[in-house]
Amino acid sequence: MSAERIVITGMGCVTPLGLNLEATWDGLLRGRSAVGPIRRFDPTGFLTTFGAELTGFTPPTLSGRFSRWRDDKGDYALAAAIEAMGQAGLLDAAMDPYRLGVSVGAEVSRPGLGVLAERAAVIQSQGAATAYHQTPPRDFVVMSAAFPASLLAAYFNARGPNLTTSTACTSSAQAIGDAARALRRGEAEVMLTGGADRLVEELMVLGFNLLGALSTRNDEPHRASRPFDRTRDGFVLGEGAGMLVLETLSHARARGATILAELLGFGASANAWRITDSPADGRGARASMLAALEDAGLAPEDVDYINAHGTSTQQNDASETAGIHGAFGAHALKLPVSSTKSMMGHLVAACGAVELIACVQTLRHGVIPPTINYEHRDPICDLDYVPNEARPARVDVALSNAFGFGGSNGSLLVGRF
Amino acid sequence: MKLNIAITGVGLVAPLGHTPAALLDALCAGHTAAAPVTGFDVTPFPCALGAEVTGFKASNWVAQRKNLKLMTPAVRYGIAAVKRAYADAALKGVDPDRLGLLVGNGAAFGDTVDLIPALEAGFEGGGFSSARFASAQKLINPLWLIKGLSNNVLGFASAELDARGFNQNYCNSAVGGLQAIGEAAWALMEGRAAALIAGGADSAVNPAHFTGFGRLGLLLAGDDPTAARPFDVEAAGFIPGEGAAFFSLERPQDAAARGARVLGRIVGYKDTCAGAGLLAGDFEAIAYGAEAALAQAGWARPDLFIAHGTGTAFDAQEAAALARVFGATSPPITSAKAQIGHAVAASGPLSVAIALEAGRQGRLPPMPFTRAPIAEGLDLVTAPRQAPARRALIHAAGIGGQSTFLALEVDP
Repeated sequence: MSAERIVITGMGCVTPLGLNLEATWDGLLRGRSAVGPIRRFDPTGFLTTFGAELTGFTPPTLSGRFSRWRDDKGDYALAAAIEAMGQAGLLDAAMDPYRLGVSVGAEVSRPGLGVLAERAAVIQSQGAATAYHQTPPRDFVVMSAAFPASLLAAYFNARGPNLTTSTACTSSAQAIGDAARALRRGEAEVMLTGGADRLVEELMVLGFNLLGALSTRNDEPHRASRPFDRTRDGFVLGEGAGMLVLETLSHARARGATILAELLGFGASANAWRITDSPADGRGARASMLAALEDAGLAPEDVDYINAHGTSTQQNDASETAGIHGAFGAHALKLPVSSTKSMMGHLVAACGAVELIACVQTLRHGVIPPTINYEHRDPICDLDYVPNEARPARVDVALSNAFGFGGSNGSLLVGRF
Repeated sequence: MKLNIAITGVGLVAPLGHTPAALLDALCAGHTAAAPVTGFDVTPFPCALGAEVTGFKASNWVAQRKNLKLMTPAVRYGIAAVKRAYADAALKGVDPDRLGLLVGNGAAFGDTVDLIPALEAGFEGGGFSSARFASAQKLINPLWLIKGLSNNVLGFASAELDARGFNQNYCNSAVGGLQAIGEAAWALMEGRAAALIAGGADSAVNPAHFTGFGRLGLLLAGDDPTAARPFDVEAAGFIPGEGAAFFSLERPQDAAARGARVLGRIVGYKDTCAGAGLLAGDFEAIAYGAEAALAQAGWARPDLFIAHGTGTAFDAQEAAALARVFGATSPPITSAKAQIGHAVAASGPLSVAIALEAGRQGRLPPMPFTRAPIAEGLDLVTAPRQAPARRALIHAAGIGGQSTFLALEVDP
């Protein structure tokens, strides 16, 4: 690859643990669980009645004609992006709009159950044509996966590359990888990149329940997300957004920006296996981590910390552990590995971005966030999972993993600059 | 670094033809795939027409037959086109870890039809109750969520081909397919894979798209297929289409080393967005993208411009951008959307397949129903034309202001 180095100069997030970077990081260090009974809708009758809901969120103000174009995931993305651009000192900076691009991991929004039921009732009583005419024209645009990237481009007047990645739980990791690639080849000087998702909705709970993917520990929600613990029984739905400002080193230096970390490498692989399962030998996870190391020109021993995908499903955590063994050899047992999903749940299309932000914070603050609810050792998950309490440690290089339904895997490496 | 990536295979599933030669023949003969839609009731919608794929049997293309019921039509087309591109380039033997897929596709809204039995249970005894709905979830196919995943072409096709390498899935309005090809080309330049199969698959011939595009006022009203007229003063909307086109891509030296036939080369790719100009209908970003792609390719002008050309108000912006870039006389401009409809994320890749064949034959397909140009200086191809077309510039645009260009050099 070209010699151009890529740095991170701004970060923002909106998560169940907190509505900005500081509050989220504070929650992670305290080992706080953001999981609780669902309040957004009445979960009676659902197999899972809890989640990591985003609460207290106020969408950013949009003026003029844009004010009608709203969707939850777009609002989350915008709030996180405003924080990230602010930290980067780019909110009011004069920039060539063609040198600012956007790359977002997102999925199409699903209609709420209430909306579906209402539409079904209208079709029944007044006919399909009435239901058609009652559909707001904006729905097709704002519910599309591409909406957050379009909204950010419009808000920040970003006329460079505009990409939307939809690979389920790997979406934002791959979106960030694309942003770095665009910068390296000179397509842009600054890329606003990350992911956003909204999941604590009836149809998502239902759909994942039907697949048996969610924890059903309804009597103690805050203890439900327990990655790598032997008694883990599924993941917990989270939601929110994470956004980062990536920049070429030369551009960051020229404008005197504060550099938070360097993005060292990106790798992707496919399981080529089954849609919802990953192979037990963790081959796809291993390939993705090795591809990131190769991209960065690093050896396995150079990595000091892994923020695992660690969903708290039996299969992912076993397969990821096998993949880490495969990629890191003897170093695997010396390497702290934690899953922040134990605290904020699974942000799906946004998890790769938020977890990369956690890695950057770890580099900067010298503290590794824990895997909470870790109580019972699983013989096939035999790594150091940083159980239950944050751990001070010097971390120079951190790796973030994201693996998704459909079999796409993405790994990102960040380093202290 | 000069972008230069070889196309060594094509896979197509399209209305009017499943090979580039058959498709070009039909387009040049003035055929249209637009016909009254029979698969669902179109009476609630302003548009009665669809340009549908015919003569396609998904079970010929999916080895794991039990997965067929989890696949939407677009996913089925995509898997078939990926496999055709793989076979056309004879990629068998490439290291699975160095083989990957990049896919552009559309909105997978999931299939709410599957929820109806549970919704009906929710309505039992009066008003709707989510608790009754949830308690009736046994009536829903347990794999319902899987059907709605937006990356199913990638997931299923990579498993069938054992493609374990670099991959992506762009769910990005009508530009995702062209972006998949451009991003794949750069990933090969970066050495991330030995071969990548990239393209797009989509279908707009379903109630969700008729509702979405219809409510935005983009669909052609009525049932006259010859009213589809890109760049015409009377242009009044597009016909929903569908299909898939994928391409096997390799670095030229890798293709040469294994003795692969090279159909053409990708020599330019530029992605821009209207940004804050979106609501103002600003065409500047389109012109910027065209100029950047031409500069990357090292061309002053292409032999052929395959426009996004939907036959909506967007045509005027595209025309203004062309005027900005090419001045008083444009290169020959065409669009296949009048005849094969708008296949959204697949539309850009379908244009690439058409450009490859047009370049090979030196024959430009027309927009047969276009009569009165919306602007002067546009060289609109309205009748088939014998002309060299080795250098094609292809454009796709999205509803959120996305604009993507690909520059294609066809090897004779």
